[in-house]
Amino acid sequence: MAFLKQPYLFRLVLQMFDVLIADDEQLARETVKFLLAQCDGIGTVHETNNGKSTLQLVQQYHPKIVMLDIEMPNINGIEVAKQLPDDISVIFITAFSHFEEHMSAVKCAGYLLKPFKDDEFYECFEKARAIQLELHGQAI
Amino acid sequence: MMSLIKANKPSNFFVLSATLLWLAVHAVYSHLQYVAFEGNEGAPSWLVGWYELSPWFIVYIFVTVALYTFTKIIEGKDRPIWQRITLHLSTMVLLNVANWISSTALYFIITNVDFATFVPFVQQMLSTTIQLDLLIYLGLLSMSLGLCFHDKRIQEKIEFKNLQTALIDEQLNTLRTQLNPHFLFNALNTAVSLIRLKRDDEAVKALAELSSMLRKILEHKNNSGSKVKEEIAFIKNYLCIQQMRFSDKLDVKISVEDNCLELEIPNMLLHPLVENAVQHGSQLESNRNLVDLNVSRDGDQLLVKMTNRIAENDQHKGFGIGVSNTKDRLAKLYKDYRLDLCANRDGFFETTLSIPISVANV
Repeated sequence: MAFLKQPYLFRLVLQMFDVLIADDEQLARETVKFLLAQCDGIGTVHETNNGKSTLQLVQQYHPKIVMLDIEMPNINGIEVAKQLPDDISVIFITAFSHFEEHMSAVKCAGYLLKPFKDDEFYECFEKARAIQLELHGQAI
Repeated sequence: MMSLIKANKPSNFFVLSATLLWLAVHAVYSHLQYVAFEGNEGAPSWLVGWYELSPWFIVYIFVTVALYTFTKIIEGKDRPIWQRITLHLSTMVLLNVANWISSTALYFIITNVDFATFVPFVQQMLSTTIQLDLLIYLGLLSMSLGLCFHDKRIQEKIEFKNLQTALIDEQLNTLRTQLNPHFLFNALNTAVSLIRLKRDDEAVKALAELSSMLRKILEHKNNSGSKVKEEIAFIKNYLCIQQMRFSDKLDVKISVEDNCLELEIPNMLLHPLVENAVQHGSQLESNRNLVDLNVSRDGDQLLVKMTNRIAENDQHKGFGIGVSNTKDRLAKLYKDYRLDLCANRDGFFETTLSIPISVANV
């Protein structure tokens, strides 16, 4: 009964996923939070504005879905994604399409080009959630 | 000389046309001669007549090609008119003498005439055909000149087109340095985010600020100056949008002395520096960036001083394209100017610019 000691495992049983938003732009973080509020199965939403603390927060809270901006202080999003555990679904959010080629080097559930439409966001997020459900549905 | 001739060699097409032209003239003339003397006693057959007349025409093929080459050389450079006339006249003498001597020699060879009569033959020939030869020569010269001018005009047209393309490229480049495309995307994205978050008033403000920036860029004549107050207004528009994006970490302080507001400075000179300051500040992790811009006047110098916070581990990977462009422009516009960009005292970055007012306001 490990999940009783670890709240994030408990939420996994309920098929709820914690999400981490990493973006150096406050307005962008608020937008993602706003959109997430209308999705099902979301646990706690954490946020940060730079690469280093993204890695720290991932270790601390074990979010299963990470929304990553690419241009961030100290460590950029692509480098962050390379250092994340394999069972985390990454969604890149960026305004610049020229990062596309670099993204292929990293495993990610999808990427969103700012400004994006609501539907694009939900579609991308549902894909990441489906991947997590598949992973953890079997584990528990 | 040889390399000049090589460089101005007429095209193969020209040589072929000249050959065909003179062969045709040769044939027509031979035929006319044949018709005129037909039936007379001892009149040569068509072919013999054609053969014996050939020296006078074959040599003209070479004369034509040589004349065109020389004309191209003479007209290829910008020379004073007297020099051109002298060169044309000497070419004329040279080519005609060569023409007479070589065609007569050729005639002597193919008809087996004794070379002892060569000089009197040339003299006699000149007395009868010199006007005709000179006339033909002048005709050829005007044709060559016409061709040269035609070539020149086409060349000029091509150059003009290239220049136009270069100009358009340059204009596009200025536009790009004036408004970073990344910024445009971010600004639009800001408006979209604000609308999504139902913060309508702010969205309206963001779009209004963006459109005043676009108006200034699109409606401003490129080469003219701009007043300090207009530049400051543009910078305020820009900073306002950036503050909406980074509301948690960007503070702005702008102070401009009243006696500077109406001064003329080069269009878009300050904006890249401010953009640089904001971009460096965005590398901060926790601290808020403070962009402090000061414009003042010191005698005949306009002083612009700006400080902003930078991250301790800010990797100074040189400056953006905006700052290097500003440096280029300053170097072109002023003999005396000062632009210092340096990190100093605990986590602050200082930008100092000083330009002479008198030159800026001419």
